[in-house]
Amino acid sequence: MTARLAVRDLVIGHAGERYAGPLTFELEPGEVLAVVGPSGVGKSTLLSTILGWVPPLDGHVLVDGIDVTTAPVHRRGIGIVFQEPLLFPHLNVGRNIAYGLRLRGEPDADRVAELLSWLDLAGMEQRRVDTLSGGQAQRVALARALAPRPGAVLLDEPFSALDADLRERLARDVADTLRRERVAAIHVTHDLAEARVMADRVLTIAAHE
Amino acid sequence: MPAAFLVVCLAFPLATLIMRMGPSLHVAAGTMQVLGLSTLQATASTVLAVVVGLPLASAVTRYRFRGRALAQALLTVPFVMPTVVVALAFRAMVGSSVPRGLVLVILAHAFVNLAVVVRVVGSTWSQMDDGYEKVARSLGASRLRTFVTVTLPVLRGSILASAAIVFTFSFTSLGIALLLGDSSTRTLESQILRQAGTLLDFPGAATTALLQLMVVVAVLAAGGLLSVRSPRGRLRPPVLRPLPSPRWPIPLVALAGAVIVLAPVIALLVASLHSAHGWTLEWWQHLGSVDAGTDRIGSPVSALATSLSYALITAVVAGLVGGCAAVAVLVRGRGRVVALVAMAPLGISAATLGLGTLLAYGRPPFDLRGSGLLVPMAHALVAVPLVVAVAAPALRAADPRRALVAASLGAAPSRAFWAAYGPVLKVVSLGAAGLAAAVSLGEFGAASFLARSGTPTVPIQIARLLSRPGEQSYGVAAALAVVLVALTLSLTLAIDRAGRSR
Amino acid sequence: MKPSRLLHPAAVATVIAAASLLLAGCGGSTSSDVVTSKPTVVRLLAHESFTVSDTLKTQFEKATALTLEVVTAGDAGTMVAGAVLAAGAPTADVLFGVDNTLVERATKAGVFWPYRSPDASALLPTLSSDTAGGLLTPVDYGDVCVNIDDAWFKQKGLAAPTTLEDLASPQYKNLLVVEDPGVSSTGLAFLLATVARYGTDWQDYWSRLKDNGVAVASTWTDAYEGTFTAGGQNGDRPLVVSYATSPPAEIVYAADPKPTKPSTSVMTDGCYRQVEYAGVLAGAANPSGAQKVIDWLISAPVQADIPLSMFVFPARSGVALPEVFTKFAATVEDPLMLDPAAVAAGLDGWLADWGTVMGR
Repeated sequence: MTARLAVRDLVIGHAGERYAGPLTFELEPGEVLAVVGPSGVGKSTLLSTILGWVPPLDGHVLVDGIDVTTAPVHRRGIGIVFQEPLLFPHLNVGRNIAYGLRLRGEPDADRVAELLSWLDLAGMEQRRVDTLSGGQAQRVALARALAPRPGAVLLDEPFSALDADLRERLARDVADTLRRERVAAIHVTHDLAEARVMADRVLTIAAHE
Repeated sequence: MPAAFLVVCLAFPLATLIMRMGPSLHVAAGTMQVLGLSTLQATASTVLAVVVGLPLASAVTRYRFRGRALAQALLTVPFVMPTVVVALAFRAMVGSSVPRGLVLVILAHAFVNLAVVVRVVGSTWSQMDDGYEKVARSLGASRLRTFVTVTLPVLRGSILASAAIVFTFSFTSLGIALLLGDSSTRTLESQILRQAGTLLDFPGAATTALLQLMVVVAVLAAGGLLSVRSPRGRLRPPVLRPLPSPRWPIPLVALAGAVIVLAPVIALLVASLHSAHGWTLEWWQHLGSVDAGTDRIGSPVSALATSLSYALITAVVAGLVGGCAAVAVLVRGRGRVVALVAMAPLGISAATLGLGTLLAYGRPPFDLRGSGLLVPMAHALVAVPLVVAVAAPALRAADPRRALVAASLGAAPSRAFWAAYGPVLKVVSLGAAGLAAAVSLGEFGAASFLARSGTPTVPIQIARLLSRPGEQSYGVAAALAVVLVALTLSLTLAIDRAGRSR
Repeated sequence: MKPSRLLHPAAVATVIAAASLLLAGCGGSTSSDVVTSKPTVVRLLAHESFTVSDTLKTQFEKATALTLEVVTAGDAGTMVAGAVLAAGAPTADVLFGVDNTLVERATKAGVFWPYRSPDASALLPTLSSDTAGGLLTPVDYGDVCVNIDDAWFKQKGLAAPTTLEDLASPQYKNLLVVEDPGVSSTGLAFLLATVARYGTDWQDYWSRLKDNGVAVASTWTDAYEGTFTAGGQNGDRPLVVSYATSPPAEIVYAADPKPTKPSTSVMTDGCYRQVEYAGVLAGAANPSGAQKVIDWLISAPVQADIPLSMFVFPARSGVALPEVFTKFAATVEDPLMLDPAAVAAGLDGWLADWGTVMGR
C-alpha cells in the first residue's frame, strides 16, 4: 500500500541554516505522527516546508507516491489546520468547508453534511462563523481541510487556543475522523499528553545550536 | 469626546457660515450638470487609484526589503503636496503631450490619492493573518484565486473605505480640476467658487455647498465608514514578511510606485535648477530671503518653521480626536453619528472651513486670531477624517475576544479595552497622525484665510510667489516646493519608524 | 463591554486638550482690549497679492502708536465675499483690494463706512472723484492687457497683434490664452474690456476668438506660468492676458545677471483698467485707526513703494516711478472701463452668456 505522505532525507532550515534533518518517514492512511519539541526548534517550519510554503534545504516530499517537492502549495493535496481556526469571515460554515471542493467545481452539499455530522456539528451549514465557539470553529477548520480529500493534513498546535477540558475530547474526535478519512496527519504539539492521545508515532525534535 | 471637538471646530463655524449665506431650495440646472460631470470624473479617478494602489499597498506594507520604508513614505508625498504644486509639476512633466482635460485630471487624482489606498488598505492588509492565505492555498487555490476569493473579501471594508475617500477627494477637487482640466472636469467646488467669489451669489453658493455635502455623506456611508458590519478577520500586529521567491517582483512594484511618485517631483526639481541662463543654483540661494533684499514675501525659512509647528499641533490633535472617533465607530448607535460628523469635513472645502472658522472665531466674542491657533484648528479638522479612515477599518477587524479574555481575568473595562485594541490603536494612530501632519504641511485653502500675513505657511508662500511673473518667482517657488516635499518625506519616515519600533 | 465608560480616559484627554487649546487661545489674543479704552491694534484685510515693505509698516506704527496687523484672505474675489458675509461685524477694520468690478456689490451690501481722506486731493485727477459715493479711496490702478512674447514672434518672423480685432484674425490662430472670467479677476477684466469695446456684439467677438482657437486657463498662474511661452514652463502660447506691468516684473524677477530689456511687451489696445480701493469696514472696532491706514496707503512713501511691491501704478499724482517702470511698463492712453453700476447689473448675464458661447 502506498504511503499517503512520505518524506525522504528532508532537511529543513532557512538561509543556509539547518534546523532539523535529514528526516525520513512514511505515513500510512489514517496514521498520525506527533511532532514534539521545545518552542522555536523548528516544528512549524517543518510543517511550512511540507506544505510547500518554504522550500526545503534538501530532500523530497511525496504525497500518494507523487513527488511534490517542487510543486506549488495548491497542487500538493496537503491540508493545514492552525492554532487559530482562521475561518474565512465572509463565508458561512458550509461555504467554508466547501471552499476546496468549489474551487474544483465539485458538488459539495453531501460531503459537507457528512463531515459536519462526523464532527458533531450536524445542520450548521448556514451558521455565520463569528457565532461559533472556539471548539466548534476548530472543528469546522478541520472539516474544511478534509473536505477536498487531501492525502495528508498538517495540524499546527490546533488545540492550544482551547480550554483544557475541551482539548481531550476534541483530540479524540479529530483522531477518529482522521482515521475514518484514511488521511495521514502530522500533529505538532508541545503537549505530550495530547500527543499520546492522538498519535501512533512520535517524532521528537531536540533543540539545535 | 470627539463630539466636543467637532462641535467647537466644525459645527459652529459651518453653521455660522451657512446661516449668513442663507441657502435656497432652488438648484440651478447648470449645477446638476456639474454634479454629473464630477461624479463621472471621481469614479474614474477612484477606479484608477484603487487598481494601482492595491499592489502597491501589498508590496510596501507586507514585505521586508531594502528601501521599503522609503517607498512607503514616498507614496504619501503626492497626497500632501499643495494642489497648485501638483498641477504645475504634472504640467512640467507632461508638457503639451497630454492635453488638458479629463484624462490628465484623472491621472493627477490617482497620483495624489495613491497614498490613501496604500495607507488605509495597507494598514489592514499588513495585519491580516498569513494563515488565511496558507489555508486557501492548501485547499487548492492558486495565488490569484486566493487573492480574489479570500484576500479581497477580507479587505473589502478597507478597500471600500479608501475608495470612498478617494472618490470624495476627487469629487471635491478644486485646484487640480481647474488647473489641469477643461470644461468637462468642472466640480461643484469650482461652482461654489464661481458663485461666491465672482457673482457674490451667496444663497446659490450655500445651496451648492450643501448639495456637495449631501453627496459626500452618502458616498462615505456607502463606503462603510459608518457601518460596523463587515467581515471580521483575525488581525495580528503587522509583521514584515521575507520576500517570497522569486524575489524581484515585489521590490519592482515598489520601485514602480516610487517612480510614479517621483517623476513629477523631479520635474519640479529640474525647474528649480533652471533659468534662462541654463543650470543654476540661484533660486536655491534665494530661499533665505526672496527678492534679494526687498524682502516682501517673507523669508521662506520662517515659513517652514511656521508650517512645521502647525503640522505638529495638527498631528497631536487630529491623532487624538481621530483615534477617539475611530473607536466611537465600534460603538453602535451614537457612535455612528460621531463618525459621520467626523468624516464630514471631507465634503466641505477647506476654503469654506477656513472662512467659516474665521467668521466664527475671528471676531468677538470668540476672538482667537491672536493665538495662531486658527490654522491648526482648521488643519486638524481636515485631518481628522483621514485618521478615522485609517484607524477604523483596522480597529473594526480586530478581535474583540481578547477584551473578553482580559475581562474574564479580572481587568476593568477600560483595561480590557486596551488589551484588545491597544496594540492596533497605537500602530495605527501613529501612522494616521503622520498623515495628518503631512496634510497640514501642504494645506492651502483654509490656511490662506486664517494665517496671519506676517507668518505664512509654505504653501501660501508658494502661491504668492507663483502669482507674480518672472523666472525668479517660478524658480524659487519650485525650490520651495521641493523643500516641502523633502520635509514631508522625512516627517512621514520619522513617524513611520516611530510607529514600527513600538 | 460598557463602551461609554471605556472611552473615559480618551474622552478626558480630548477635553483637556481642547480646553487647553481654547484657554491658550483666549490668553494669547490681542484683541481683548477692544472693549476698554483706546484700541491699539488696527487690522487691514487685504488679498494675497498685497505686499508693502516692512520699513514702511514700522514707520506707520511708530507714527500712530498702533500695531498694524495685515490679514489676507485669498484672492480679491474671495476676500470681498468674506467681507460681504461679515458685513456689519467685520473681522478687520479696513479693507484694501476691492476693485472696480466688485465695488458695486460690496458697497450695496453695506460693507463700508464712508471716509474721505484729507489727502485725497493729491490723487490723480482721473481717479480722485472715483470714490463710490464717498465710501472708498482709490489706492492703485493697473491695466489688464494682452502680453506678447516678442522673442517668439521675432523667431517666427510674425508681426505681433496690435488690436483686439487682430486677436480674432487667422494669422494669430491658436496663439492666445485667456483666463476664465468666472474664476479669475484678470480674465474677468478682459471680458469686460470686450464688452466695453464691442457693446452688444461682444458675444460675436468671442465666438470668433473661439473659432480662432483661444485657450482658456483657469487662473492667471495657470495662464502665465503654465501656458505662456515666456512663462516658467514649456508653454505653447505667445499671447496671454496679463498686466501692463508684467514686463518690468519679468526683469525684476529674472535670473542674475538681469536682462537689460524684457522679452515681452504689451498690446496697448483693448486694455481694461482695474482700480483698487480701500475703505473703512462698517462696524470696525477701530475706525479711527482704519482711517489712518487709508491715509497711509495713499501717502507719498507708500505710493512710491507700490510699483515694485505689487506691480501696479500708484493712484497718487506726482509719484516718481522706478526706472524699470518708466522704461518698460506700457502706458495705456485709452483704457477701457465700464461704469461699476453697469458691471454690477450685467455681470451675471455676461458670465452666463460667455459660458454659453465658449461651451463651458
